[in-house]
Amino acid sequence: MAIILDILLLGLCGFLVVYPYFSKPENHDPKINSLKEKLLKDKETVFKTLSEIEFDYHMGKIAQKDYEELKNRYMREASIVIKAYNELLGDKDKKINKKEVLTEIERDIEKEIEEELKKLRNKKRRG
Amino acid sequence: MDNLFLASVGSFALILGFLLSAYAVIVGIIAQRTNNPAMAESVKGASIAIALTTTIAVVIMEVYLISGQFAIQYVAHYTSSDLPLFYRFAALWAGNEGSLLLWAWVLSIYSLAIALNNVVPKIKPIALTILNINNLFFLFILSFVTKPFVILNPAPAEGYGLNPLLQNPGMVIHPIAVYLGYVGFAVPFAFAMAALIAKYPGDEWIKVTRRWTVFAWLFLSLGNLTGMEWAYVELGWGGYWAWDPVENASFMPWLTGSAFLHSVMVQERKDMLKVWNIFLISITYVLTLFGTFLTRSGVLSSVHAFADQSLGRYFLIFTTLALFGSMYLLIDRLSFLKEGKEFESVISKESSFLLNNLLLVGAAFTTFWGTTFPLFSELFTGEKVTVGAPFFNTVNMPIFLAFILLMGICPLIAWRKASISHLIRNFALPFIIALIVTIYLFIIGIHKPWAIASYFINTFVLLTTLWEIWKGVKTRVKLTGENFAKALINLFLKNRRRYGGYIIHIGLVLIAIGITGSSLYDIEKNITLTANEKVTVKNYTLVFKGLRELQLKNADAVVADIDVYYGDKYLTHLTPSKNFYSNEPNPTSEVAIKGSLKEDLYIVLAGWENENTAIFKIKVNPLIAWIWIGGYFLIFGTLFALWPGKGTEMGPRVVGATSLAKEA
Amino acid sequence: MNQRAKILVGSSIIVVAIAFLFISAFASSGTSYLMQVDEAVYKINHENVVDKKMRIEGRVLPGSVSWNAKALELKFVMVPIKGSEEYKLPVVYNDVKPDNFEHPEAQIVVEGKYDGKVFQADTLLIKCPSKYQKKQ
Repeated sequence: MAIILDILLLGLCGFLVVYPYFSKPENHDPKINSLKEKLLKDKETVFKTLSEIEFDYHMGKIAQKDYEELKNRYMREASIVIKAYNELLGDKDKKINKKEVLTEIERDIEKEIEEELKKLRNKKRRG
Repeated sequence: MDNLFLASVGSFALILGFLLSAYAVIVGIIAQRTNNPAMAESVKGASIAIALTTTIAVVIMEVYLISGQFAIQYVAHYTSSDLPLFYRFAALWAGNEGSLLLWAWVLSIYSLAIALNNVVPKIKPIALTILNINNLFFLFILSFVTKPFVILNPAPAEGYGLNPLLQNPGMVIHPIAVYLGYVGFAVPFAFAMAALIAKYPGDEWIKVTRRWTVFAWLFLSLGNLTGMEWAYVELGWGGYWAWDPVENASFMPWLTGSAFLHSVMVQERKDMLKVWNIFLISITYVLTLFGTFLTRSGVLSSVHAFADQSLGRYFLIFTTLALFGSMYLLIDRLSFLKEGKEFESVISKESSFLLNNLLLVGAAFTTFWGTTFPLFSELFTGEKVTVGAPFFNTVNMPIFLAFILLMGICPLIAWRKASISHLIRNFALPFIIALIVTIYLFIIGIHKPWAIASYFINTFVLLTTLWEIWKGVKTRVKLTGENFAKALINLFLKNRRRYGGYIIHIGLVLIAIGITGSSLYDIEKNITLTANEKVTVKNYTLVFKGLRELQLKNADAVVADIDVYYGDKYLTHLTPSKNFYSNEPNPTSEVAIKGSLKEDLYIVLAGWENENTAIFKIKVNPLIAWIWIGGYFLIFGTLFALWPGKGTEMGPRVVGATSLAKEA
Repeated sequence: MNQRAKILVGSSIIVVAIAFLFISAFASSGTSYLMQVDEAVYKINHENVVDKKMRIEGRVLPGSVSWNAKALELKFVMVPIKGSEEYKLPVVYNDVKPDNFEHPEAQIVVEGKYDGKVFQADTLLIKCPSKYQKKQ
């Protein structure tokens, strides 16, 4: 009985190890996919950064000068990322549905930033 | 049913796992060098196979444990037929062979997860190879050194049973939590080494392995906390931490792991401290191996020892290899690890994290030397010199207090450069309140300097942390117009890492408060009482009513009945006892505890002369409950920070604007 | 660069402070020599170890235990774990008798001082007997 189980186990493990040598290799196109993912990540990050800078400034943790410098820098980066991202999307218009691509996270963050910035602009106008 | 044949299947599976690991390591290296995708896939298959073999071995062992197959030596050693099912299952990690098997299984599952996951593709295969080297080591030990499936012939009719001290739910969680913690650190370590070997410039490996690191840290924390709770409730000496070598073994990686958790945030944001981070994770990982070595080799006398000389030797060799291997790699690749940004200001989050690291690593360093001093002193002077608890307390108390103080100050400091006027404004109120509280404590009789310092700092930190949360909510209310409750919830949910961290900090403060009270102001009284005699300790009056016998499921108990009065009022009835288990010549003490937030009344039935005369050890431990409460905060905070979903992303990264344009 | 230098200085101060703490704790809190019973008995007979803190590991000589519950006084004789029982160390411990104390395989560690006649133990630790390896 034990021998039978041993042989089964050996066979299964052997199969797992040897099979890849005989099967056809998978065809990703890793380069483009990962670039898209990377840009998406960068976009998220930049927006989150902006949001955090706003927040820290309003909490009083950052001095006004630092705040303005940081904000300008990240606004610039945001525009670069968005431009690059849209370019990438434009190339693959035929293959990917634009709707799929805008994830919930993005939408939320964008909304949040816009709202917060709107409020600030309103305050500035009033004040 | 005769299931003995499964033992040979189990042993076969382990040896097969060993061979598969050897294959995976060798082919993994070749595949990486020759860039051969089929070989890489084969290594992936091997990872599945290795996990399969260890799983089969674990399942077979559990079958034996649960069915009580005493022909298997391990089963006979650690179980008996009257052992409850839950403890039979947990007996897997009661002894050496079983716990090593558990370790190997967890490691193989973690390795499998890495094998199947397509993260950081450039270095993942190397990381997998390093993990497989670990698999190879553990499967070697299990196949040839400490074999789990040893058969006894003739088979004993009954087993020795599980040490009653281990028949406690906390003690069931403790070892497995510690192992999950230890093994968890192998993954970030493997990736760090892989990044070095491949000279990989990016640090996605940190982002990728962050979850693993926090996960490992969570379990290590849980392991330490349950260990303390078990020592307190089961061992009956009234304490929870003795700076025993084995306790220190799981404390040191916790310290360096905590340091690592913080310093990676600096690397993520500012691309700094790269060398330091790799050093930290290597040390943490080596300490986990070293910890296992200490526990299992019997090389240091401890209440825990699993004494096995040859096993200890293998572990020492493997630990040394890991240490020298990682340090060599680090030094060799030093020039390649260019630093990103500079420190922009002395007062910044970056520098406070660096200070945090220095303190934690300092504590780990002193604990390490205190623990291993007997070994080194014997090596150099021929005499084994030990350091006791006073040494550890003297060195570590100031470090921990400084650390807690830092914990309170740091959240108020911004990245890059903090506004000092802001800091002072925000410290003023918590400082004043903490001062008032401390003065009050002094007036009511707390005079010991360390207690004063500790209570002041802890109160201050608690207040600054709560204040920081409060201000965060208010700011969010201002910016988004949400009501307070909604803002609070959203603030937490969208910044899980930060606010989970604050919850953890609060937990640590509570633990520190509990430790201060119970170690500086505990009261102990040992006394022999005859029936109806009473004794007063602090405000508690204990009236001993007599002893009686009680029959439990697998033990006979001698129980003392005690009526407890607080002042004049009747408080409760306590029944400390001694349990006699059928397989143990000596009884265990079941401690009786009447706990409150203020203090624990802790009574041990230490012995007796006859049914009317008994000896008691009575302790009053102030504030000790806060250790466990703080522990819950800590665990909850970690789970909160770890939970998948929004808000777990890292913070802003100072990237170069041009690098993005280049990619596009 | 200026900031970096400041950081370096600050870090060095911390490191030095910890090192100082370490060394002074060593000197003040008293390290103790860990030895086996035979070594201890030898030292007692040949050197002046009165009032020197010692940490001794051994086992209890069966039949030597005397326990006075009312006075909380435990008297017993320690002998080497492996070695001749002619090396005997009389010990007095003024606290409750631990649970596993008379377990045949228990290993004891006592910490305290020799007062000229007996070893006054301040602490008494017993090693977990169930974790012992069985003789193969």
